[in-house]
Amino acid sequence: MTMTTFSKNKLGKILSTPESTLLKVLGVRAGKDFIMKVTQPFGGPVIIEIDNRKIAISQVVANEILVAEC
Amino acid sequence: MSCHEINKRIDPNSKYKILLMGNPNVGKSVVFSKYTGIEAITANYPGTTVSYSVGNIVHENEQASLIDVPGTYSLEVTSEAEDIAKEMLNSGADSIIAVLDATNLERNLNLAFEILEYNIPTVFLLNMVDVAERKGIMIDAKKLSELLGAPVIPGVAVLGRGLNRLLDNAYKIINKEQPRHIELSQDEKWEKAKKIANIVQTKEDVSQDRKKNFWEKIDNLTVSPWPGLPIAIATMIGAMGLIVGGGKALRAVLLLPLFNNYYVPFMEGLVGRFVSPGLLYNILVGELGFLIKGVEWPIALVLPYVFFFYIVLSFLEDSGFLPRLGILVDGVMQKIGLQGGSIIPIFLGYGCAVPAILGTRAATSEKERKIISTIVPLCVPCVSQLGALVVLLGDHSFMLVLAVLAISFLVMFIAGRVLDKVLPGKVNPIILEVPNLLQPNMTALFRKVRMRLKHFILEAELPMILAIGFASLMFETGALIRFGEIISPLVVNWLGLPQEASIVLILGIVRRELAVLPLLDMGLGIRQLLVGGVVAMFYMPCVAVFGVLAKEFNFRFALKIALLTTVVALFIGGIIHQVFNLFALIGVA
Repeated sequence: MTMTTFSKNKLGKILSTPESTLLKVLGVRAGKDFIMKVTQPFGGPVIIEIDNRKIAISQVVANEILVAEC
Repeated sequence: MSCHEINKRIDPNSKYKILLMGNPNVGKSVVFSKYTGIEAITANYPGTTVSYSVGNIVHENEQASLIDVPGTYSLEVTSEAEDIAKEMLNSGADSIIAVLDATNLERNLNLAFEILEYNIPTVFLLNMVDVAERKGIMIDAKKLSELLGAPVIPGVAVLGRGLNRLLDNAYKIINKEQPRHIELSQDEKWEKAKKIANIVQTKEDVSQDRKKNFWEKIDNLTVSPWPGLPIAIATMIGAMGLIVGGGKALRAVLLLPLFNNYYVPFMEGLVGRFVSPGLLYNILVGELGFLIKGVEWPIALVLPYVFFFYIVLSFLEDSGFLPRLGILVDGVMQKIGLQGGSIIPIFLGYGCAVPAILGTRAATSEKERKIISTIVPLCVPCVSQLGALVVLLGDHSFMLVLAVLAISFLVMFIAGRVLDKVLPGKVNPIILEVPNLLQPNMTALFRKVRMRLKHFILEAELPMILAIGFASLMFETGALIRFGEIISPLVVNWLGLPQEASIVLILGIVRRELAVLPLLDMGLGIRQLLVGGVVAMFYMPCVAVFGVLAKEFNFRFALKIALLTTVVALFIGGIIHQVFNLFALIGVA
């Protein structure tokens, strides 16, 4: 499943991400665990928690991130 | 312009060049300020430092130039600020102080490896160990130093902890043989970072042992649409209330009585002793005398609003509220071709367009930079202009201020949509780290307010006095009337303003509030106030903003913005007047 369809407040694992230096350096890499916090309205970003940090990721990008439940 | 950018020249007396590097928002600028005494602007969001600054440090009688390099997550360039960081490294240094965030070691190690590959002697500051400990993260700095092959000093920069040892090491390692670091691929670096982080750090779950403070409690709430959006709206209304209410109170209770009862009689008396009534006397202390208006306008009228605005801006910056606002409004920002993170430079534009345009260096695409750098000079009033608008319009009706602001938002929306369609390229979608919500340190906050106020007074006062002196000369010699006659079709017929209002079109070029303040004493009616407010709101950028646009882009771009803003200001102002006229003609108003 993609990150945008992942349930709120659940722990997940990232399977693959699109090629993006910014995603990598913010910790959004394959193999990392994350918690889905919230999705913003009007097409706004999803907020995930990774390494105790909150990261906002556009839904366009989050749609390309494949994840699985832990 | 100069006050917005700190020194960039390396002192020729400096024996060494030391770079200060690290991820964004890890406290580099705090270290820089502590070492050099130069007060760099700090804030709680990534991308505060978008340009490098140079300061001098002396240690054991040897002077070095310390360069505060913009924060970068990686040396793979994604923004202009990161490009600057890479250029600084390529130009070489005698040593590097690299700041690591102890609360997020793994991520910071990636940049550490990239820096080490340059084989320049490096010392690491493991910063914020106190916050890490509170979160249950303990790091073995000695072990980390062994694994990195470079000294690692644990510390807390804001409290000055570890900084003496750090500087000592930054000097000691110069010219010392360092272990050579071989180049690794990106994937190998991440693997190595994960491995080292696992070896040197231990984590305890302390979430049960510790009571959360107020800021930690609302941290999560402020990123959720509910109640995040209502909190954001309430914060903005509260901020506006404080700026307008506080400014008005300070102006009425303290500054205007002081000015009218003490300053004006004193100045008139003083000038009257040396100058007999006539042209010179009037230029100095007459109706538009620059010794009177040059103090009344910037200090007694505008400064109170500037003061409260800076308190609000500094509070929002230091608390980490601005990136949250960016996330909440991302959906709306997309409609005008931007992304939520763009709200930070736009918000800074309400202070001054210069740092806002410089702040766009953190943007990841040229298109985003250009959209922001167009809409800020066009429809974001700077704080001095906003203060002047509140004085001009707010004294009649606060609704007039709201009307002008509403028109500015509408134009921002339209301009953003048009620019999105017209400009080539694309704006990268939001990927943004949300910093923790923190209680601002009041000492640091007021230091920042003081620094900004000092800049405001220094920057506003001289151009203001010169411009008012010029206006006064034009007024007293009758040149203003002749100029007014020439552009009368525009000012009187199209805009419906009195002929003498033509002066704002000249003075507004010098400073934006000068497109507003001369209208104060012209006895304008409510419709004229609205037209005057709107024209001033959109009118061309001041000289300093024009300069920064030319420098950051090119002269042609700056010229286009000046032309666009002038046309939009006169067009919208005129349309409002003509619509009022039409209503009057058909008997509606």
